[in-house]
Amino acid sequence: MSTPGGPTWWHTAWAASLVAVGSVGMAGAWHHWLPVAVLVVGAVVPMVVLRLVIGLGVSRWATASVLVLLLTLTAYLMAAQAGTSLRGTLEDAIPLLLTEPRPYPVRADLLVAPLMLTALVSLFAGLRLDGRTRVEPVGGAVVLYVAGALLTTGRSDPWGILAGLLMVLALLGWVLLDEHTEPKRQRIAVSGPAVAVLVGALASLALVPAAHPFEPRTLVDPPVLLVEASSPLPQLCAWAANPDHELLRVRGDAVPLRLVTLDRYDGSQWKAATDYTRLGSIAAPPVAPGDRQRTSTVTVQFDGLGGQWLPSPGYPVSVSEVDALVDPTTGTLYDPAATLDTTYDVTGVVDAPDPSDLVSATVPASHEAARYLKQPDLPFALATYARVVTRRATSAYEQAIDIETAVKNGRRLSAKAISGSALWRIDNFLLGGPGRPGAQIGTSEQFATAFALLARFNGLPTRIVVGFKPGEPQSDGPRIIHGRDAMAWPEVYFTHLGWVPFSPTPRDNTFTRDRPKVSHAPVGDDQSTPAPTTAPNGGAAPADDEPAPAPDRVSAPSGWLPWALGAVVVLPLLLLAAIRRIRTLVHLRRGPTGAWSEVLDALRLAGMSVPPATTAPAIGDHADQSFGITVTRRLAEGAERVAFGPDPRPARRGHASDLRVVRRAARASLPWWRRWWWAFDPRVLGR
Amino acid sequence: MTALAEPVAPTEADIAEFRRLHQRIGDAVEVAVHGKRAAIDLVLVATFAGGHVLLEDVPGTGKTVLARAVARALGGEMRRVQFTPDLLPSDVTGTTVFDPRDGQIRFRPGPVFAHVVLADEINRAAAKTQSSLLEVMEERTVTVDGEAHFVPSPFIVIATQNPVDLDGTYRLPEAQLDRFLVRTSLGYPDAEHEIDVLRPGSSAGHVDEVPVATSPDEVSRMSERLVALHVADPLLRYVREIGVGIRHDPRVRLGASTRGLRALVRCLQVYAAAQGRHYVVPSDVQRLAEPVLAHRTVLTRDAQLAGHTPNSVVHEILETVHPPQPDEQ
Repeated sequence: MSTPGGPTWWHTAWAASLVAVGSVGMAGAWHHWLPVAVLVVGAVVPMVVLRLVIGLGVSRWATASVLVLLLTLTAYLMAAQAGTSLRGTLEDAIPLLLTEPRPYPVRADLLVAPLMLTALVSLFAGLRLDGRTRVEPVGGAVVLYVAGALLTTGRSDPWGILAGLLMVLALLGWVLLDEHTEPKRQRIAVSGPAVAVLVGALASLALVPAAHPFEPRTLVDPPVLLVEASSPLPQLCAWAANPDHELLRVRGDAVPLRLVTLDRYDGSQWKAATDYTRLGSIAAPPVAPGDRQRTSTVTVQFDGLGGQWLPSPGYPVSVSEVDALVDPTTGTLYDPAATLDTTYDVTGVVDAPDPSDLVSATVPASHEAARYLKQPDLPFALATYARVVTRRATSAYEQAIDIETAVKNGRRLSAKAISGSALWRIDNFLLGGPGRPGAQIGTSEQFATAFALLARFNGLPTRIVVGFKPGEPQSDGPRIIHGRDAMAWPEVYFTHLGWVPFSPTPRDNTFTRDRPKVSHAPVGDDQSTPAPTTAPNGGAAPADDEPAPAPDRVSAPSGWLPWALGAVVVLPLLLLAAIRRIRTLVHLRRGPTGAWSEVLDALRLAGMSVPPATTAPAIGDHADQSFGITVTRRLAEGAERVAFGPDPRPARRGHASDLRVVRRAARASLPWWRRWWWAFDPRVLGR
Repeated sequence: MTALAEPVAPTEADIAEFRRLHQRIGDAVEVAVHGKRAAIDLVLVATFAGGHVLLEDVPGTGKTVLARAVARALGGEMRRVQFTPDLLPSDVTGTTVFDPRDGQIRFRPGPVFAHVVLADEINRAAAKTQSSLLEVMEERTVTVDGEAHFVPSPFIVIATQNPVDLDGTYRLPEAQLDRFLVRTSLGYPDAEHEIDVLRPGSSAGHVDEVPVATSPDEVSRMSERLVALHVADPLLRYVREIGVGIRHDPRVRLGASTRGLRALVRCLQVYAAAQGRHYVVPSDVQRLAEPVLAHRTVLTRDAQLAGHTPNSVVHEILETVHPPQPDEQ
């Protein structure tokens, strides 16, 4: 824009308007009128005062310097009001703004940096109004607009209204205020269509969904509070044992409440989240939420629950407890200041996919959801079971349904069952026969964990949730949640659909309504067990603590299938055991050198690696040291005497008893659950 | 064609006797040399294997004391030659002199005519003097005026060499190093033994207090018996694979010759017997390969500049060659 003459008040008003509109974008980070007013004042006042004083004939730079000093003084006073230093506030401005929960609270220390930026832009634009071109107000407004977009991830101007307004203002200045020799009609003729096209383009851009918008908060680590708290899963037994004990009083939407979401399993237990931060500090959980979500708001009053976790109807969006922290990964709410009578309002979102989309749903690639697939190797029998129960499934959702049915059917829910989520407990729960403690009987902890382990084995990203059913409505208003409403349930993540809950616990139909029908009957349920449909499954399961029918593993009543499955498992085992036994007998017939072969086999099975250039006595020393015995070196020396000496006869008998000692010690070095595999392990065959 | 007499393998009693003898000599030498049993055993292995020893170390570590103590414990005649730049070959081997009393020309034997010859600081003498000693070490005879004079048996040369302060010295030719069966170093003693050496009244360094533990005849007799000690074919293959590995290593210009590998086998026999075994095992090879083969290994200039040493190369080869396992036989 060329400017043959000096700026008029119209120019000042135009420039101030541009800067003010740009600053409104930043003010969108606060959902409050006060920051809007402060930033608009910061955009208008410095420029107006500057132009006013310059109009009186005072030096431009002197005026600007004084105004900068005044601005600094204002910022100093604001920082002091917030209890911080100006320098510290400015140095920490960006980390502070990028880690403070959104929307920002109205605090002076949060406003200092945006206000100073706005005022400085305003002063700079005011100084440059005397220049030959007047693009600085436009540039300054764009800078402020971009800053606002970064602070709010674009939420301050979702429809592009502010951007359109900035364009219109810039074109108005070009048409009306720019001093030029062209006829104005010509510029209007150009600017009209230009405005229409640019606004249309902006509107179109605003409609394009941004799958992964740039989020500057990912570049800054928010302050994290480490909380070491054990999982509430063991409490399920206690709650189930006191079914009438009141835990919560809830007003609002009748939806299940989530107490703790657990996604880390180490083979012995589920671990609760440890890293909590303030709600809103981090934009999103590690996996994208579903395309469709449901928002629920409830008022919760503690009535006997206790603890520091705050039940929520979903991933929390807002909570009235000022001290509440959230685990950004799972959405678990934690309030270090919670008391026995805490009352709070909480709004949460859960994924609510269209049931018709479930049948064709897919799961993300394993590396994208590795966190929800990680678990220790399952015991062989359990792994086989996990494969068998989903063998007929043709989609991820059918796999989940098959697992749910397999876990639920034929097993008994009991408050007196042995608690625990360890692998051995789940192995007992799913595959244990009569006489084994905890076989085929469990609380919702075992049902949900069993589902999760089988699902993760089959590649379904899974987590479990400890929470409560919606509770019983009362005539006087609030719903009361009792101990019997407490339960654990698993959730599976599907691409674009989000987390979908399942109900593997008998007599629980909390999440089975509105489900689509699958096209096949689950494995082993050809005749006796109803296929998972929209109908609740409660009638199919026995009542609590009633004698349960004998478990049918994969629950196939037809005669040949169990035998076939048994043969599939047992025959290879028998074959391996026979090969291993023959190998041992061949070794033992060779005397001390064969005994040494057996020692090397035992070391291999115990996971002890032997460097290639190691001699037999050195291997023996290492084994003796590792196992706390003294006979391995003796075996090595005996074998060397026979192998390398002139006389093949052993110098002493007793290598067989020494070998037994080594074998016993090597086997004892393994975890108990791997020892049974010792006699079948085929790894030694390739040695 | 006359068939050679089949050597008789040593019996277990022979092995037990040798072990006791070896132990006795070692204990005797330890009276004067404290905390160096491994080096003493190595020198004794070379002695009974009929070879010569090169002790290479910095001054003050006990090389000369060790050589003198071994010589005394073996009970034979011992001569010491201090090698200097002006030493002549005849000063080592001996020379003919005219006897005016009877007008005869007689051979006056040099210091090499002893059971144990201590060649102190061998690299300080001129090359031709070194060569005269090396020739005697190999041929075990001194030829003067066409007449051969045999050195006594057993005959062992213990040479010392200082690897630092090399100004004015004559390096032993690399090819000639092959004449030494074993090259080793003593190094400084550990804290316990060094304090023991420092303690007033310590017997360390007092060679005169070393008891005579055997005789030259006994050494020769035991040495001959061990020639037939059993070495299994897998061990011979293992030795050869190590030798081939050294020769084919790109850092090596000249590897161990067949003579060098044969020397190793001879040392293995003595070492195994010293351990009370009438057979050799792979760990014997790993123990002796470095002192027997490293000084026969000549590296390329690039490898030397890169900081490699013959010892490190042999050590790496030992870590890569798979030793025979008892269950593979």
